[in-house]
Amino acid sequence: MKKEELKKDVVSFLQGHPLMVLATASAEGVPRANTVIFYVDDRLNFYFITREGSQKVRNMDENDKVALSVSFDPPYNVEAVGAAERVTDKKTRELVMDKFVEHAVGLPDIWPPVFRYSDADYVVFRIRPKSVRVLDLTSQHIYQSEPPFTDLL
Amino acid sequence: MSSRPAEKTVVIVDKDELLFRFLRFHFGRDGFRAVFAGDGSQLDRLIAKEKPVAVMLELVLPGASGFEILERHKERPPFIVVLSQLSQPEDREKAVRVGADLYFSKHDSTIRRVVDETVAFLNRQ
Repeated sequence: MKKEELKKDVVSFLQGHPLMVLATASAEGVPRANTVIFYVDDRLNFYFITREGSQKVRNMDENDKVALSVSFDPPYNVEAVGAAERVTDKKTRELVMDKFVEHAVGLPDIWPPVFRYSDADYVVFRIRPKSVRVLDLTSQHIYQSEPPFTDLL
Repeated sequence: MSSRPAEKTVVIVDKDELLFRFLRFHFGRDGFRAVFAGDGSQLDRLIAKEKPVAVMLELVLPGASGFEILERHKERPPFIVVLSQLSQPEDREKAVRVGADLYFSKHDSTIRRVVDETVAFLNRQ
């Protein structure tokens, strides 16, 4: 599959998947991994909602470098590294909230933790990826001569 | 030419806009239209404009308290459904005494239960 076709296929895959693991780190380099509900646009920008005051927000305010993974749900495993930034644009915030609800209602056994801390405001983040790579999990070969990951960005 | 019946409207008064979007989704699936009011002054305007069948009200709000809003609306429609972070029995008793038709605490309710019971209540009226 050509890279542009693969990219479209991966975007479609990601838009149908609600959960990613997000890795952040404080200014001192103390890491943290969180599972969050996300939305991705056609340019592979990742968006998610959290609360002011959470550790991951403090980490991203101190250190915008993040990594993420959407893993082990065939056919793809997607990994990205990028920079996190707050989204203040009202239209984008509302779109991300609507996408959040769309994803969350598809997870009937999960009540998103973002609701459980009601004393702080919501904050929407965008991750602009510096690199995105994808692994096709469905390969039937034991070994392969090419590297298993394909770089999309 | 057939015309669609007008959707019934529920005004949701809560500072939590994400919760509103969940409620709007579930009410929408049950044939109700949900609109958002962030505080009591927006509620008065929306009641006049939208003629809702019900108001879903958080008692803890910026500005006027939900109890004050309940007092203002107790003698007239629409129905008032409280969905509040206040979970003490005395809060529930006071709200019902002042005019709430239904009361749900956010601490022991799911969205699905809140919407199902509210819709069932409204459809019985």
